[in-house]
Amino acid sequence: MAVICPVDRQIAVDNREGNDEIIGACRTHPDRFRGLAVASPWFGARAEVELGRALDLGLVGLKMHPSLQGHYVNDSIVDPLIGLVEHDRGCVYVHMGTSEYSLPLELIDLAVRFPTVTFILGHSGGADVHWPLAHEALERCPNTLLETSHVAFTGYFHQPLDSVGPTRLVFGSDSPMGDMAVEKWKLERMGLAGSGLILGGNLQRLLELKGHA
Amino acid sequence: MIIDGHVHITPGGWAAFNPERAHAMGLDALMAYSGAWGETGQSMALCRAQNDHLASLRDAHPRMVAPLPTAHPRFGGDAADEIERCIRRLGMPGVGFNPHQSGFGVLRASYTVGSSLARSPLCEMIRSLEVPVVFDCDYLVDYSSPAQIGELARGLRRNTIIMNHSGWNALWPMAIEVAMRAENLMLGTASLPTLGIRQAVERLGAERVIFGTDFPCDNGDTVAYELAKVHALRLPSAKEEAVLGGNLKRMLGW
Repeated sequence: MAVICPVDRQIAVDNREGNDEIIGACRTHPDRFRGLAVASPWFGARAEVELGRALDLGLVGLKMHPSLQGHYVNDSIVDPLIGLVEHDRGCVYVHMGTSEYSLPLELIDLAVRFPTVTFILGHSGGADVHWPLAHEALERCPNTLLETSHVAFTGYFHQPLDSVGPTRLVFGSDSPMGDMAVEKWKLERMGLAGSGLILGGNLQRLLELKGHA
Repeated sequence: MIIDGHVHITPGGWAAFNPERAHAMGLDALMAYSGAWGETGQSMALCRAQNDHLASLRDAHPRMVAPLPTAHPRFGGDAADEIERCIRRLGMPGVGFNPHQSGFGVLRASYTVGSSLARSPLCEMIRSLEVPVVFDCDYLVDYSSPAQIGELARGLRRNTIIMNHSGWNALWPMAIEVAMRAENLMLGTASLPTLGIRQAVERLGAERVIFGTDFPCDNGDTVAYELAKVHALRLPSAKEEAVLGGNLKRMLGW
């Protein structure tokens, strides 16, 4: 199974087109896909309507891409959208690592403001220089998870595993940016404790909790 | 032959030279530069010691280590003299920098970034020596973004510039864009998403893509992961060989 979301232009401006494409894929392959919606907060009330529509049609949460959408990750402009996700018991996946737009410390601020919403830190927070603060997000905010795509220094995963355990990591490939097989092989090769949770169990449980399994 | 174009070596500590481990991970040769960036900015003596250490490893392992000296632009003419010493007297084949960890900007200084490479005697020395220059390029944009390195490359047309990390997973599209406009700019694969490596090969040509791992920046399986990303592209063998070592072999004259 895969959690899928719109890309590029659909994230920035054509939110409805992207959401409809994801909704269609999830309906065609209900045993394979769950989907995240996109809604640029700059569209204001229109973004709220679009996100509400997408959640009502079965998408399981919000994909935020602050650098592509042009806002800081913790800007209060996103609060109405996160509020909708909270009401829907969904989750928020955040592309992380782009300087000044989307870094772990600012994500901590957002996660603290919405403690009942689960935030997934894309790419485990970004590059090597961001990982210490991504780890801090795990320790300070129980509603955060790290997603594993593009983390090349695989030894990095041992630190969160030691401190918070395997329930806070979720496998991701960022396909088609990343290669699904290589990203999965990367984790399997490490033989991590709790790899079953990381490769699917944690997300499965998150979706079950939200009633979207 | 697999040549890792992105390796850090320090006289001791986390990046101490470990040829057995490198070989065990499948690396035949290493193009290496410093990993003790703070020290290189503290004093010229510490900087020289690191450069001498790299040269001594090359002398002991001539077919395994291609050593790149470094210097900090804050030392002005002394830094330029040190690079000239390393290139002309010690026969080192290029220069390596990590701007954000050393604390200088590629293009310009500001009141947050104290030193500039582009406006230093060091840069003029590099230009006159016409040697390859390797950068770590994260996305700490005050120090070294792909755009900054691309701009520098356009001003150093006789130097081959290698951008390691190529902006990581966030800025790699920008790295490819700037490389399209700087023919002397090559991109390193470490930390680049698989799609980024593919697009770099397709848009720039395999001869401008350099395999690298950031070895030994990890206690995990980084080298295996970085190799797997390249293999997953299923490039024609000539292109894969070029990326994995052929390009550097030619550049180093091996």
